[in-house]
Amino acid sequence: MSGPASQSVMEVRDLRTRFHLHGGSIEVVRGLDLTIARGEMLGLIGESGSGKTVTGLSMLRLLPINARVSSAVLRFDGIDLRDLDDRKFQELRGRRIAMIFQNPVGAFNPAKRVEWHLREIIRRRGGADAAWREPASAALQAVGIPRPERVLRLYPHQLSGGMAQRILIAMVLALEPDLIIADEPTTNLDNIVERQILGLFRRLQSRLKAAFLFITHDMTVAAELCDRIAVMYAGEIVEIGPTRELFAAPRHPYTQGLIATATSLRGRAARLREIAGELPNLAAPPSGCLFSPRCAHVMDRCRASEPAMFGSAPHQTRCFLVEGR
Amino acid sequence: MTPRRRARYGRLLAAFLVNPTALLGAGVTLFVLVACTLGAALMPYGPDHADFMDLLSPPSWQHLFGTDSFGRDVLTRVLYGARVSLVVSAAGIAIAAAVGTALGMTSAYKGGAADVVLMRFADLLFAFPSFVLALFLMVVLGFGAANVSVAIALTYFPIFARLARNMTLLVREEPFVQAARLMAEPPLLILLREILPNIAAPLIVQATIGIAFGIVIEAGLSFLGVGVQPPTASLGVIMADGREYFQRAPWVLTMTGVAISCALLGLNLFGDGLRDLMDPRLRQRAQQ
Amino acid sequence: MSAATQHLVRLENLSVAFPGGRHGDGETRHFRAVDDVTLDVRVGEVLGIVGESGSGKTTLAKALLRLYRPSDGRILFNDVNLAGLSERGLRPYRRHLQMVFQDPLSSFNPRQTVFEALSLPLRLHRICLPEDIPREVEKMLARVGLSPAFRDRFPHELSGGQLQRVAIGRALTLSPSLLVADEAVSKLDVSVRAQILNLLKDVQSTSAFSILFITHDLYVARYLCHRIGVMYFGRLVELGSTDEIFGAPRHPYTKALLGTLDEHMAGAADADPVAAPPSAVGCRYASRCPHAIPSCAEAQPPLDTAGDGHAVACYRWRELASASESPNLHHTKA
Repeated sequence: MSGPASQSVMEVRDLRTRFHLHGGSIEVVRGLDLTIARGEMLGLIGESGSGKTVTGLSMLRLLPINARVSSAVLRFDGIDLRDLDDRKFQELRGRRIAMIFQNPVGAFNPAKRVEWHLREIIRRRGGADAAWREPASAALQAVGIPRPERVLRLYPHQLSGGMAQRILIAMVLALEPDLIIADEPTTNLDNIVERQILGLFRRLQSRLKAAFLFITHDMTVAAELCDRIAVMYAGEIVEIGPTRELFAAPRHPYTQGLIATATSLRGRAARLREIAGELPNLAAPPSGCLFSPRCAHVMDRCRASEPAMFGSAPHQTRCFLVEGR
Repeated sequence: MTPRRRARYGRLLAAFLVNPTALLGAGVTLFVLVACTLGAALMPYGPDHADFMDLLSPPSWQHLFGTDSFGRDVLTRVLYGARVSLVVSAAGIAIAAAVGTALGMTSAYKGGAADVVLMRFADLLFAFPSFVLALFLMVVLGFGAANVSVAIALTYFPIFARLARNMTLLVREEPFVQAARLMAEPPLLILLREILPNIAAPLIVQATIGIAFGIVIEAGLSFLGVGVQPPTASLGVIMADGREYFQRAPWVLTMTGVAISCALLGLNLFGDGLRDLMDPRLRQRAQQ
Repeated sequence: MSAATQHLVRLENLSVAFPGGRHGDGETRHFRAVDDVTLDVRVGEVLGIVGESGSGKTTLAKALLRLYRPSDGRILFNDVNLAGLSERGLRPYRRHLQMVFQDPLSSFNPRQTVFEALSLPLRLHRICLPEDIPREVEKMLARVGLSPAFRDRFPHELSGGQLQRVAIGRALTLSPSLLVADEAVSKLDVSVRAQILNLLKDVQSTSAFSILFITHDLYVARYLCHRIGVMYFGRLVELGSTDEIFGAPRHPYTKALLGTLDEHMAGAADADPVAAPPSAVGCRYASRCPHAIPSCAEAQPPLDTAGDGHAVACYRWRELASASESPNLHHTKA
């Protein structure tokens, strides 16, 4: 997957994020390990409440004040992120790591035109301020906007969701970061536009050779784009592996449930497959494996202790069913 | 009240208690309230008790704020006066809030001509500086405490009307209000059950600040002699007194001014604290 | 999946116009969000309306419920034209037409508990005696798959899926004839979506109501709906049974939409929508349509009958259909 002297772009070990509220705290990310190789697209899949968005925000120091993040390892391209003060981190974050959010229009400064945003990026990249128009137009054309001069003059509130997302991708293209974290970038878009934006992501990745962390709840979208997929449940990764293998032979019952649901919708099932039950209450989690209350294959030891990651790399599963295989 | 609701209010109270502005404001306001009710009653002197042996004496242990030209204890008069000022202001603001909110909500919900008329009327009232308007109203209505309340009400009601209207316009578009319409909930119930509870917070903050404003208006009007009429003492009346012999006995005017400032400070801080509470992001800060 | 052929609601030439519209390219126009739409909702069926954002599908649904005032056309319910009634005149009809909204959280008053939200319709319409209300609320909670413990919770304490269940329960309390679901599952996770869709399917088959299901997700439409209408920038471009729409689509836009379903196909050749805003005159789709001819831009094509209950708004549908019986591009592996 990566070259011989590869350093991973992002290395995370035992990431934990805790939110402090009235009368207590909740651990929303519970010991997460992730490695993203150079140029790789890693999908992070989970439902609302799984902690997937918080994971991305934790890596980028974008959480509110009442959150506490801790980790054993948090390295970007060999640099220990925890050593950086806020200013240095901000330089790094704006320049070498980009984040694409769910609400594209919200990522813009509402008082500034599109051209101002692109100019900022180009300037940050060290481009001469005077010569910003060429690269800006080129970036917009690269994402399929044929008359950039007009779009450059628009204000963010005049943009539709799909258009805004395109422009954001153009901005990321212009920035040329090493790592892109995209959090549900197509969730608010409808089918046709989503298709186009996903195509753009593919193009983005092949042009930039950037590493990608693609956070989503939609398995099928992740399956299309990502080289590897990590499935998250209740704050931890429960299965991780190459996309094809994970879809062909999912091992964790939760992953199996997710795939079955997505497939039943795409197929012509008479009744959609559901995953019974609800997400656990992280303020009062069940003992043992957090998925055990919903698991069809639950065994006694699942309730007694939490499973570690079993199986041999690259396909690993946090489930006792896989132990020893 | 269900246990869940109680818990909800409990959390609000907890957030309130860790907010220094709110706490200080509440403390000062409470102090003022207690002082002018209980405190006034506990004073050894009555507000009209004249001790002709002791005219215009400076502050001392017997008369903490000194005495005035009739030999009356200034502190006692200030405490009773504060009560009068507060009542007059609160009454005026209560009317302004009730009428302004009702009109503002209705005109926003119905829209159309009624809305335009109300807003232009409010604009008209806004065009005048409040004190000038209040003064004019006193001339028209006649002097006296009750009319001061009316003047305060008329001067301040456009603020409530506009605030209520703007908030209603926002909330009206929310899906839950549409759901209520789909259920054929009568418009009056929609305004009272769906909209009002969800716009109450800024209105309450506005009322708190309004009372402070009302005290200033009352004090000014009474100071000029067109507001509360002697012998009833309000803070403005006492200040009018004190001005006459300011050279000889500055403490009357000064201490009354201090009292007004305290009350205003308390109310404004309290209002600010309440406003902080309503903002969910600031509330998070308090949860650290 | 056969549906009764009586119509419950009939929209005739319905138009909803807004002053000043907005398109993705930033140009503003005075435009018709819904333009001359005619369709029926039959008793006991699930009718899907699919289209992209900006197609007017949500506006159509809200106009039907009279949350918007139509600028033209009729809404016939039991032979009464709802479009012309005042708010007061509408009141007796309200309980028959209910809605489930896209964002579950904002469709509930944040200051009321689940119990209060569910008991409101019961009290407003005197459906049962006041002392029976708690029992009815519990029954409704059970019907939508929630335990009685939910009754005292506030909306922000529930997950999206749970709230949407309450929303469905609330709508069903009045035993409506028509339930409008406006992107009711779009904001939910895929697995929760399955639960809600199954719930809708169950409830609809046991009770006698119709559903008007607005969605941009074709898979969801295929799963739930008996018939599907396709909208494009305010116009109804195709209407037919689900099997026909997916098996033999007639309108070029429908084909393009279906082309997005199978990720291995390049999809029908479709000009980029960013480059081509809808034509102001003539067929709205002409600026993107690979089969457009000059006469397409002259006047809007009317809805033409293409078979039993199947309607298409395209001048060339006949020649396109016979010219190439294209292999089905939309089958996905089960």
